[in-house]
Amino acid sequence: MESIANPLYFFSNLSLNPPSCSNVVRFIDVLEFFFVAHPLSGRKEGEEHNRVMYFHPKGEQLERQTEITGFAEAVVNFTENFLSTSRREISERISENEDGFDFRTVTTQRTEHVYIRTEDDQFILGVSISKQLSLVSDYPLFQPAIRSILSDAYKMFRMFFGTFSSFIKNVPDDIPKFKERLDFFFSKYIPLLKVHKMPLLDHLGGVEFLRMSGPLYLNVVSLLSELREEFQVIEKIMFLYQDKLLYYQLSKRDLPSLFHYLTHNLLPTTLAPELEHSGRNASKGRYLRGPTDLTTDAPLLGDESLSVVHLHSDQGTEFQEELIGYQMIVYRCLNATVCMFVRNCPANGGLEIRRDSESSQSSRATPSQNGVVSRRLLRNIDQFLETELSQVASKIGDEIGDEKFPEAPDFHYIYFNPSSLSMTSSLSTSPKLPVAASGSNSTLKVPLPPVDVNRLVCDTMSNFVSETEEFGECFVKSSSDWWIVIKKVNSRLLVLIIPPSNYTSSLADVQSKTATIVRSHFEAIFFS
Amino acid sequence: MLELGASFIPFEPDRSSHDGNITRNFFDCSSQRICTMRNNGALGLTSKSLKNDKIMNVRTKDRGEPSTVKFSPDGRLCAMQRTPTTADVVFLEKTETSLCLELTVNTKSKEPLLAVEWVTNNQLLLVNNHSAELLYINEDKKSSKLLKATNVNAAWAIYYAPSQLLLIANGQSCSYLQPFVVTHSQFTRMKGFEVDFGGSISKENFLEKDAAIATIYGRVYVLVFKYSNRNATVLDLYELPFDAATGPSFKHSLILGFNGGCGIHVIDNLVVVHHQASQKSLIFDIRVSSPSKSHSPLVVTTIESHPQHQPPPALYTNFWFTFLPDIVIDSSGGVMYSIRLKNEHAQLEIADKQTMLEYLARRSNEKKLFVTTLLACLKARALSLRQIRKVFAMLTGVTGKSSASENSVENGSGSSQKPVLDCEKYASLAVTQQEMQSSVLIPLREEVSLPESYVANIMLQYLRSLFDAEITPEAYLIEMVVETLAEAGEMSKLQQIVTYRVINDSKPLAFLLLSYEARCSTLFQSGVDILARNKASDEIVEVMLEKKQIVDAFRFIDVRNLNDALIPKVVEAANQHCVRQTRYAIKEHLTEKKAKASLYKSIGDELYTAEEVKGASEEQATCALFEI
Repeated sequence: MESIANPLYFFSNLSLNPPSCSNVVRFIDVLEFFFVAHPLSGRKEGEEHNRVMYFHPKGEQLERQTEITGFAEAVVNFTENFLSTSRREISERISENEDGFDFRTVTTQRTEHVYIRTEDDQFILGVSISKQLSLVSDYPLFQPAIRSILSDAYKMFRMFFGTFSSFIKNVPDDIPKFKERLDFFFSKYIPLLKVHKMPLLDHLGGVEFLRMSGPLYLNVVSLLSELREEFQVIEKIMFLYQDKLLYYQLSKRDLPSLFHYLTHNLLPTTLAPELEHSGRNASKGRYLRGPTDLTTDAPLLGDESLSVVHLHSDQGTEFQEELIGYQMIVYRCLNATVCMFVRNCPANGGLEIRRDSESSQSSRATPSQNGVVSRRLLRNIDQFLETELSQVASKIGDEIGDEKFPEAPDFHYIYFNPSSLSMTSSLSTSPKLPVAASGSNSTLKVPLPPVDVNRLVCDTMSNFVSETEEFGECFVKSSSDWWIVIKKVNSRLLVLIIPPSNYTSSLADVQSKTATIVRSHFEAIFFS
Repeated sequence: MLELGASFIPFEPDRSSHDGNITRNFFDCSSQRICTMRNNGALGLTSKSLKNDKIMNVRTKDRGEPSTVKFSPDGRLCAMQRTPTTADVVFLEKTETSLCLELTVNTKSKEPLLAVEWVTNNQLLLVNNHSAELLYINEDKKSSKLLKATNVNAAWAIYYAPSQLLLIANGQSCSYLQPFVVTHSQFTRMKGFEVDFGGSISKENFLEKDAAIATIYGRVYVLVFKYSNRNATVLDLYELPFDAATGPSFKHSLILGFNGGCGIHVIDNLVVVHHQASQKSLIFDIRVSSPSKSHSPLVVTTIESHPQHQPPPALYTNFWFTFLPDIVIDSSGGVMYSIRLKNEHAQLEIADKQTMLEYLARRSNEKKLFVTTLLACLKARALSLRQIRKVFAMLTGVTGKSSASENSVENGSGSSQKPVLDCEKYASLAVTQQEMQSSVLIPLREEVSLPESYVANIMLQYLRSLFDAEITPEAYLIEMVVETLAEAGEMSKLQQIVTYRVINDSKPLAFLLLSYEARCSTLFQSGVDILARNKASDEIVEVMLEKKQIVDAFRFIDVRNLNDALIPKVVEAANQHCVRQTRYAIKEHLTEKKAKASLYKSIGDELYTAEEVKGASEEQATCALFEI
């Protein structure tokens, strides 16, 4: 595995302390412990502590770490006895779990525990949330959200370092390195992780798409198709404008983690210096990572090397976990970001470049340098993208600028489409990019819902809306007179949170208002 | 690329014989006619043209050797200049004496004439050093009348009949050009301009033979030879505006790359320069984009003779005379030829495929050749997607925004300044969507050797060019794009394109998307969305029933207050797919409806019959678990 040279490789120290009126909570403020365990490493009597691969907090005694991970393993093994006797139940469990991870939950008087098993159930990741700390932080506990947070943490590690199993091939030599990697990653990840006070948003884990007219969108598709044709080594691609996604050509399973990393970590970090240079060369494109000097042909080493991410292969099936390393090239121009992924080819030649038939048939394809990204390639991409991307980005900016800001709605909403992973919400607070238009910071007309309403939304989702059904409808009134409307149509989910008012005193009023909201705000899609 | 002699006509070559008979030939550039005169017309005057088969034979008096011969546009009158200061108008109809009647005209000042030109069938233009006069020739009375005169300061003058444009040269080096438009019995003075003809000690004056006028791509240009001892000769093009207030501007510089004798043609908006010494012809296309005003030859080729000429005539000889636009006169052999383009050879001559396709698109009457060549290039994958897009943008720009902006610019200048200059309009190649689909896109799709994703990308590029030109794509084109993307397995791209509504809504599209549900669930969602946007509620109910979502279909009918005719269909579906409890619930729901209670009750009874009641009772009696 390649050495990590840049300490800011993953995350920055952006906004460590969210303000109290914020809609997010630092995960570490409600966290009791988090661990990664490999039970097989601790099978021998007297060496049970070896199963602990990572534990937070670090200062915890080794004996306690061993007890906690042992308890988790015991819970898993004990409950396995019941699950194995019912085959139907097993298949139902698999279909229910979108992430595909086997999981267990334990509720005690003080804490909420969630364990997930990954990579053929060889590893256990566990987390414990303190009920008291959650209460103090106004964070409603919602088990599916905690499970999703745990899954996302694992996926983020896997995206940057590959699977856990890839470290354990040569037991026991690589285990110290594995522990080092886990410590390096999670020691930075956990303190910076923020969870939403509406846990449903963390559970759904969607991606926010930018609204755009059809012809202009076709310009984006056309530009990216031209780019991929010209540079055959680019296998996957993503296109964002500001902090919203426009186009992607990679596995949907990789999309949430990658989008989250880009919009919450990479872009906010690298765009801050952009404000200083906004005066000159405003329309000039540039790379956000990698070398700053492209005029030479020196190899890309050290700080100038590109980030490597592990993404799913397109040939893999849904249940096949084949991950391939890709070098990530991030190019930015006028608020538009193009992420290009070139298959990584380690120096030891471990991976073979598998060219598709289209590439081999094309007489125009220039043979690349065995898939390795070079300064020359970066120069050529910059030259290819420079004018065209500037035009497209300028058009997008014009179209967004022309959009009249809609009046702030008098309700809160969450919209999610599991098929396309599209999610939008009035409650989401992605970090504001420095270059974002000030007009987009419109003040919400409605205050954020109280914690009990958020909890009620989650409970209603759990108890009354089935995950397997494509249709559903539920109206709930909270003790504080907030109305919660949950609708599912064609698998799409719409949650409306309507504050108390004189016009929503009865169920009929709320049904009428719901119909009005659907007609005015979601007229383009089928929601009735 | 260039073919000599596809159309030709023989004539009697110049001759001086011992018996005193003399034969001379004159070419009238305005009427494109060659005139053969024997003994200065006494033994006969014959006029021929490549454009029609009409050959005129008349006899005139022998009043000396003429220096110029000009025919009126209708061919009924002929103006000859036999003396420096006068012109004779010859009436070409037959008379009893077999000699044509003549009328002698001159300018008022009786100075030597610089130009004698027919403006209309009955209007003759005379130009001398100080004046330009327009005369009306009365055929019946055999008389003339002065219509209009204007003062000029002319060293030499040339006339361009297609635009009725008179160009007068004056100034110290004769390099100041003053254009006049002669229309409606009026002289309209346009803005003059100075040209750089490369004057030097050896060449002090700008000469008439170094200037020409031609229409290229809908604009009138003055072509100026510019010599230089150190550098090669260039041909400069000055563009004349349509109105009288705007000054002409230097637009293009064609780099010839040689010195010595050459001839110019303008064929199908191309400038063709023939070099005698090297026996090469240079083809310039000013529409080929150039970083500066300089243009290199697009093609360097050699003229070939048409196969009908056996043995082939000699080419690039000393006896060749070239006249605009496409005339070659072999004075020794006595043949007048035309030169034409053979655009089928463009593929061999122009290496860059995009440039070659753009060249073909600009040629007249070559749509079929262009389309087949485009298809061949796409099949051979000779163009990148970016190049394909630019070719499509060129095609769709014809009827779209860019063409509109061109017209608006012209109209804008027309509104502020009245246009006075007219010329032949250039019509860009227009390929309709139907033609593009049937001639290019469908054959591409049927080519099994091409990857389907490549074909889909080509279609998307075409779609983009239509949108950029603000042209609405046709429904059949949309469907083909969707089907091709699906066949290529590009479901993710198709889903994103549909989600962003790149393609317009239509019911057939909705059903097409619904059929892809197994491969991409979001396409099914988009299909239902399109039906909803089109208020196709009945179809939505059908879709729900097909997916066995009976209760949801019922709820939808209730919410939308849909037609009652749908309810029996839902009941039938419930009978087939729902369990007993659900059917009972539906029955009760129907019974509770107040309106049309009797109708709903009867329908509900079909849903839950007495047999069902008995079955339920037996089931309860045996305490059997309900099957879920």
